[in-house]
Amino acid sequence: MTKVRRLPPFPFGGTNAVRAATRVRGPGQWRAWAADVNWLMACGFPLVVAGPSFLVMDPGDSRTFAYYLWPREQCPNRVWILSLINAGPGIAFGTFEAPDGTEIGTWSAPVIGARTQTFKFTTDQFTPTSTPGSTTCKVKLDADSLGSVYVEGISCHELPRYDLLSFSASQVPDESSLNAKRLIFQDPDDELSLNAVAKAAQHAIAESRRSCLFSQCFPDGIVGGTSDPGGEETDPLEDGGASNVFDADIPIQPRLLYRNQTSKAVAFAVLASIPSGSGTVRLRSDILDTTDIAITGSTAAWYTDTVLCKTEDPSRRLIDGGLRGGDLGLVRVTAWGAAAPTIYSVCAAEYPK
Amino acid sequence: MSYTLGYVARFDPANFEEGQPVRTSDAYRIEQSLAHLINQSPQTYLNWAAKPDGDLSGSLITAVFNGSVLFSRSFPTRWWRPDRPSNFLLRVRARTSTVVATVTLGAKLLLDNGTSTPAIIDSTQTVASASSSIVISSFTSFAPRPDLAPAWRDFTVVEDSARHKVQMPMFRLDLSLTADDDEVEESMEITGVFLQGFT
Repeated sequence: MTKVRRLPPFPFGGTNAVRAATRVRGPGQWRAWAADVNWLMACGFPLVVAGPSFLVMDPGDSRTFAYYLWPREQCPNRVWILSLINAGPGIAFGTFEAPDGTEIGTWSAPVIGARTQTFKFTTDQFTPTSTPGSTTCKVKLDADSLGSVYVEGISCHELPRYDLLSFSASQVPDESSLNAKRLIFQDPDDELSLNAVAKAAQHAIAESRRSCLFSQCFPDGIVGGTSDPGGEETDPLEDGGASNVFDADIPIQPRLLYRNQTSKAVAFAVLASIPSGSGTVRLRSDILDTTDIAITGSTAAWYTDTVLCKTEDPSRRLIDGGLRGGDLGLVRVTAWGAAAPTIYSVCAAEYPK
Repeated sequence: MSYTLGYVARFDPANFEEGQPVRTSDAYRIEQSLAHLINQSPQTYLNWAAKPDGDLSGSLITAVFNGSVLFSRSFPTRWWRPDRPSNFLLRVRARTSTVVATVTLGAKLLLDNGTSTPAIIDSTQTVASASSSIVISSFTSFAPRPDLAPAWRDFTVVEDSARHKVQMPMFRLDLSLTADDDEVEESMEITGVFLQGFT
């Protein structure tokens, strides 16, 4: 029988509940902690962070946006946010399609010059997965539209989970097993009593990661450089060297988990191709960790690797939001090859967990 | 026993298996870890960097008249800490293209939970540039009005036989540009926007 637990309201009851020579009580602490874990698991995180593409689409056009996701299995349902600006001269309308080509929904932007019109599309993933992988979505502008649109941005967010299933499905503890006067025992299914809370709490340390730190897709591609920029790449903020993928370094700020931890691996995925031979995508963080990714195929493919980035500094939370050293961590992305490679998408997340 | 917010405490779930004594120190580690996770799990919501110079087709550019909205983005998120105001770390990179300009980059973060008038949180950064390629970098934290804090609880739950949906509130970030001289057209190019929650 499937047990159902409701997404709790924010449950955290404060700190310093555990003190020496004081009972660690069932409902006072253990049940509250179970609720904390459930809330962390169920609240839903971003999978594709918002960011404008500013592509212009004319009637009859369609664009496919590719992203690499690092999902969590607890929140399998997703909401996609599509932001459009009507570029005129008349009404624009079209569809939003899933990776398999099925139509998720329709949109219409009737007002010329409207700054932003936001459309939400919900998708169900009936097979929850925490396996990283790529996905695509397609924006189509109907051929009968009378106007063009700017695709201002696409983002995707895990829907908060209203119900959590049993531990085997969602890895959460059963709060009711921690009520007052309930016996402490070991549940072989890791769903009940104290050891369930302990295991779920340890699981939550990994699963409450920042599930998307950066994601930007260029359906038409960005062409990189044809020569190695060397160890000290041209500052992209100064004159935009030919190999720079972005005009500015990307802010990347993973969590800090453990004391004395100053850096954390961040996973990057790059969708790229090269006309011939091989090329390189270089990820270089501001703590001088460098990862070179070899690009070898003439058809666009995903390449993944990690680079060390500096973590937050919670001691500076009230000073500047927890910026280690007073500044955000930054990553510079450059791409080059004898034949210039083309970059179609760059995504990053706090992963491995 | 003092409490230090800011780190996950290592603990072994095996300590809670049958036959093990429940020790205060182990319970404390769980408490500390969960407190840290809840405080530090706010996510990155917006992260965008423009294409390099030479290919400005993807850049977010140009405001040549006062008060124009340069940038308007909506994105879903959660009011992370409903029991107290949440904060957002906003970083905007921009540069002016005029030789002499004093411009004010304003940001408004609006909450639209679908049921009420959006709340506006204002913040402005004044930028004085002396060259045609100056870089502006600023940090701003937003503290929404406390009376809006419970907004995330207002999400609409629609249940049917097949699935459960939760409609989340939307934030909208507007960046605008105001020049100090009405006689001179000013322009600014936004080269990056970053928004992340923290508490």
